[in-house]
Amino acid sequence: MAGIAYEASIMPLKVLASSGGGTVADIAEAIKFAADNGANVINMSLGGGGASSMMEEAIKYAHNKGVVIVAAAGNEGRNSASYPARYPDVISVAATNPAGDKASYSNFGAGVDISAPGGSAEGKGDSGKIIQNTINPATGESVFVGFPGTSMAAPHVSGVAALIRSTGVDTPDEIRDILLQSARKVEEDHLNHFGSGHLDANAAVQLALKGKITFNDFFRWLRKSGYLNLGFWIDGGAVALLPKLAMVLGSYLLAWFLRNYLPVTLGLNSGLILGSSGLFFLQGLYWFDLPQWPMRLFGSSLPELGNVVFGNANLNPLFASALIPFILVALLLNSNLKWFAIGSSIGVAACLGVSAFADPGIWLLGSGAIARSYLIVNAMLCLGLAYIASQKAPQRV
Amino acid sequence: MTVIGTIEKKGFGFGTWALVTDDGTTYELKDPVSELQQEGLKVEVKGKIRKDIMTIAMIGAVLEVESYIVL
Repeated sequence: MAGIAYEASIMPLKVLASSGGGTVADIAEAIKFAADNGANVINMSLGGGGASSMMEEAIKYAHNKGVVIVAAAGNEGRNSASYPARYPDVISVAATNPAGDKASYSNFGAGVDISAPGGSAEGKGDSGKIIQNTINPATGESVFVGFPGTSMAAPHVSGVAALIRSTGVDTPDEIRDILLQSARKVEEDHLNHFGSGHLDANAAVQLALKGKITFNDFFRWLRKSGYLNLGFWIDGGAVALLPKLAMVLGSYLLAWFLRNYLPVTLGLNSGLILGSSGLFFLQGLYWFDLPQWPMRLFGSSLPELGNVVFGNANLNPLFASALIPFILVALLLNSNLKWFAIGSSIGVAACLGVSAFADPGIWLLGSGAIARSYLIVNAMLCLGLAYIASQKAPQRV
Repeated sequence: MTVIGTIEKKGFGFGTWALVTDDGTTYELKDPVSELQQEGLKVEVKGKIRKDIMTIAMIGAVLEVESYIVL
């Protein structure tokens, strides 16, 4: 059994007696303690009593220290969240039953920010409730039991807050905004049963990652694109490694840009690889008694096809241009492979752009300013082509 | 304050003892003595509301029992 943010570390602070109640003074003290000792998210599956300046001050203190604070809206089935959920710096969580409707006991209305699974006692046995590992206060033993309640809904939100925090978003207000914005909206919610809607962990993390270049994201992309294998690192030395790396990086950045700002789908990555660098490590592979040109073929990017296959170091101006991407896009725009064509176009743009600066040698055009301008102009043409084609191909696959 | 109602066990956490009045208001009983831990018992409770206490059950105001009469 795994929880939502199962790699998060838990800082358990006991504020309630075995009877299930505790004083505001103890709870406020624990909030300050958590904030002073590095907590990133505070979950409070508790509530009741009245407004308290001591509690409000502790919450403000933790919030100002960058802590996300989540609390249960309460189980009175009434219109308004309980304290501490209703303090403005606290994310107040209502509970849904297994069908996604408001759980009968859940508070709603004023102060509810979002809803999450709280389970329902009306289900048979534990099936409708939220299973958890806890301590039975009567015996002191560790037990797995199902409980219903907004107390169970709140930690779902705290877990997703931790996931968002792990993407590098670190202010409580930003994390709150991401949680609320990414929630699945509920139509016809006149009584505010659900706040911003149903908690959506996947959408929240996607939204948090949007616009972020992260180490994890880059490596995920490398692995998906086939760049993360031993052959790459060993045989890569046989060809010009630095410009190739620049091409990989260039196409990653373009792919990242596209993924965030354009509708993107499968096929794009393989097009990017073919267009930018090919499976270039193959170029350095030699096999006894076998012709090497097939390796050079598969190891070539589109712009290199005109020369590498024939063992020539200078680019062929016909291949190292917007011509092939243009033909690909024209042929494939209305087929399933259009994203492959768009990816190729961007990849070629990356390849030509890097070649323009690293090694602008072209057959017939030399390696000076003319060749350089030729490559840059064609790189721009390829980018423009990819952009126009992506606008004309709105469906996702 | 004095509250007249029926004792119920609410299924939040490992179970919480509540006093429910005829008009449906629910009070969470703070540490009730064993005689009050009987479902369906009709009682008149004298006590006070503890506004300084929060609970995991969150079913209503916390009522600290000072004295009671079984009806």
